[in-house]
Amino acid sequence: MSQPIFTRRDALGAAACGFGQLALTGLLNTSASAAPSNPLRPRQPHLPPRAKRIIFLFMQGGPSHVDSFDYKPVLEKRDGETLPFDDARAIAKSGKRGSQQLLKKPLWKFRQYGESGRWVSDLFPETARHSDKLCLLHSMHTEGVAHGPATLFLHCGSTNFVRPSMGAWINYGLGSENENLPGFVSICPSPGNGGARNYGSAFLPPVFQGTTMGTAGGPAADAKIRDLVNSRLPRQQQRQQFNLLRSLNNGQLPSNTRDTELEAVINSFELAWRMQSHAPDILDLSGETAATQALYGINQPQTDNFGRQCLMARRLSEAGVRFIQVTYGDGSPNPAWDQHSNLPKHAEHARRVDRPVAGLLEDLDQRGLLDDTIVWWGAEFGRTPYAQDRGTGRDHNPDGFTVWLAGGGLKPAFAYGSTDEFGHVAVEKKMHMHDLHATLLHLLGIDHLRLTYRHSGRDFRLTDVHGEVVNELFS
Amino acid sequence: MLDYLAARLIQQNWSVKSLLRELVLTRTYRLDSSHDQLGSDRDPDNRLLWRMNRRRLDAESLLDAMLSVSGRLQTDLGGPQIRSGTTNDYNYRHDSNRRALYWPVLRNSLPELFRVFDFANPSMVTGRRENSSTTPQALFLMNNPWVLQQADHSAQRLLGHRLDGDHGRIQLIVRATLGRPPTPEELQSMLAFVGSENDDKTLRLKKWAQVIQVLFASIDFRYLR
Repeated sequence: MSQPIFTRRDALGAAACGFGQLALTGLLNTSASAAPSNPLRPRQPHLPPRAKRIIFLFMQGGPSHVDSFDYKPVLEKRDGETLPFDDARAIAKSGKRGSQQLLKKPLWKFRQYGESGRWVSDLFPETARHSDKLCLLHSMHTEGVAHGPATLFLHCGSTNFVRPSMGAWINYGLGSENENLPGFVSICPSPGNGGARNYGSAFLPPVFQGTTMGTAGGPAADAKIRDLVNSRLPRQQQRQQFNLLRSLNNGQLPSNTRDTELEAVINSFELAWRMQSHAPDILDLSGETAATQALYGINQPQTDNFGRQCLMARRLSEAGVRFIQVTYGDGSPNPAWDQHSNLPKHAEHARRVDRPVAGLLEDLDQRGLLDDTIVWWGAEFGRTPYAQDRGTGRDHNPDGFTVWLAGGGLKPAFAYGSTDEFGHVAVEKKMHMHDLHATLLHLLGIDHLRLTYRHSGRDFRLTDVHGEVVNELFS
Repeated sequence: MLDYLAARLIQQNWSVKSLLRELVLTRTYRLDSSHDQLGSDRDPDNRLLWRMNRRRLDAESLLDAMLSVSGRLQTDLGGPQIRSGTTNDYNYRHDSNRRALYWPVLRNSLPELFRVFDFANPSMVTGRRENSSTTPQALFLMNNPWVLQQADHSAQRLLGHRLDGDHGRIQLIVRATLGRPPTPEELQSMLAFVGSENDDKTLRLKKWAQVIQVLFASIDFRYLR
């Protein structure tokens, strides 16, 4: 990046009108390159990027892949049979392999959609209409049998150690495209199962951690960036106060020498002021047309909440935020999609997310944003093809599950890998969570082997010493 | 230097208190951090301690300093840190007026001031804290309700004093917040901002709270130099 001709110090020293001049320059130059001391300034990617940003739709708790996107006709035929399986939980508890399990057929009918003829169940009829946009990964597997470790692994690439979250790594690697906004936003994150660690920066500088809006289970309409708005002062009055702060801080800079640290403090206020001026508009959904709001199911009781979250994600991605996570979950220790004993409850969750997700895909596509935005739908793991405790639900399954991607640089209407005939274990072209992380970073132009940070005497990566980029997914 | 200090420690009968007293009474320790061309030319990194290294207030000191200016700081020692009846750390409400030392460190609910101002991540070992200057810090100082509240309390306290006019009030509050008298420019801009002494009481409180909040956000409040 070339140095600006005028540094902030030069401008302050030379301009009789002081910060007025800077404010003008700020208006003319809205890209984040304006301020060299901004730690979130955009950085050069390692590789030519195929996409600029990711929207991660986190289905907290683990939706059942065999009831949604991984069609296994044999489950219909052999429903109710008892067979031995290497159940992950049984192995974790007692080491026992080949425990007897009761096969359970999917509770929803599967149909074929689109030119690709992809099978999707009646849980997600709206998303299914976009089958030809999806890149389905049927051979996912991961670490952790319980929500806590598996959720941490999904976000941070480690089940137990404290590691930076993926969004923080991306923020660190690429910076923010928009200096008025953070580079990593998590909408309605859950306080449970790792909580803040799932959007934390661990040993990366804290500036790279996710900015949160609202909390899981809370109304999305109230999801705000903290301290973004002054609850007392109208804009004009706060501007006067801000000008007083500017003049004091300016006077407190040493006059005879450059001081980059203090300039960074001053710059943080300038960035904050701009963020405060722009971000509320970006997060305000009221300017969207009725048609767009309807597309996301806003103002309909079932879909209003997740619809708002998804529409906010689109607006943030449009504004240049690199990593936006949207969580469908709740604040309880048992996450939303966690149907151990009551599988039919999946229908309720699906109704709440299906239209908003489909709306997001359609909206991004219409605006041309899907070309450089990756939509990632998935969870910490899937569920077993057999009933839990011979009952009415399904247990966790980290050994085989489906996530899907769509958009920037990915093959549309594509399906990668597969699980065994029952949908239990990934067998063909297995794709580990580390591989997914490596592949997503690659799409953004980051070489996962080279995105490192030195801590405690060694270099760390999101993918530890693992991760293969799956080139076959790229269009 | 270390040999000398070790010898002094033994001479003074192993009294750490005496050693500390001797250290803090030295000319070197009492230097401020102001710039000096000669020093800067010869020893830009200040290895020979020709001036004090500027120090940033950490999260705990910022909290204590604001509570102290607002007059709310409770300086009692010891006792429980966590509100009785607390069963869960999620969404813990931090509203203590005690020193930051006595604020609970809960992994799932750090006080926002701690989280924003580089407090060590309680889930991991941290040898040295970050020293960042970030937008969330600025937003916190500009808009956070707790900060606004401390500014209110401080303004009430200040206007409660019997003082000779706004000139004297500015002298007092700048000394209280920044530990030095105001510069003529600071005095001038603050006087202009607070307006007339004959304004009604609510407006006066509001204006003074805003001035004090600006002092909390200013560089000289956040650094010792």
